[in-house]
Amino acid sequence: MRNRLKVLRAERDWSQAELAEQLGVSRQTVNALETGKYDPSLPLAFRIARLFGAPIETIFDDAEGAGAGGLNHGEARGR
Amino acid sequence: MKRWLTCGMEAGTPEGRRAVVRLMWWMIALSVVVVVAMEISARVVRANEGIPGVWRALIALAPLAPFVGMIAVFARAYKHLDEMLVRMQFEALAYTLGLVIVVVVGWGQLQQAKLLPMVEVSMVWPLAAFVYAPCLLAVRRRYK
Repeated sequence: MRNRLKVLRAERDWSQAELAEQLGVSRQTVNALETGKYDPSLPLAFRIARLFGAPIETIFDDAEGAGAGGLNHGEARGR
Repeated sequence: MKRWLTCGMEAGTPEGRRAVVRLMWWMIALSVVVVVAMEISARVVRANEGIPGVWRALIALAPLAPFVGMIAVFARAYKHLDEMLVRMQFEALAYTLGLVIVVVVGWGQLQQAKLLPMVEVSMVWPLAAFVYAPCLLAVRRRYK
């Protein structure tokens, strides 16, 4: 799953360690999230969204929504 | 030193990092203590075959006492790991279990074919301990 974690972190000028501290996870985990090697659980995704003050779907993108005409994933699946 | 000891595992908090380091020291110390204690207890049991069975059983099982402490340390260490580190541990333990089964069954087969000597079942523990570290390192590389 792709995400904008690295960009959001850079905008705030935080190091991986600082972000890890705020999320209560290890720096290794932040690195794996940023490189897309690990997908977070829902609770962690919510913590990330809350920390950056943005909806989850603007941070994480599973690429399944492509071509759905701008609908979010829930709407696209509901049709 | 600590990075080598923990195979590079970092908990999210300083307290967690200490707990993981403590766990790894326990694993190393326990491997040595249990192997030595098993040998001593086996000798004691062999030398005292006249004593009641209950006492012989207690002496034979005495080397397992440190495992109680290790389980407590395990529980405390895992509480401090975040979700990805827990997943890494789970994967490393799963690979360890698989490899240990392959080695034990393979050894048993070769033993029946009289190609390898008899080895005590209790050697599974040190084998698992030695297989676990490379498995954890391999899993860690996947998430790096």
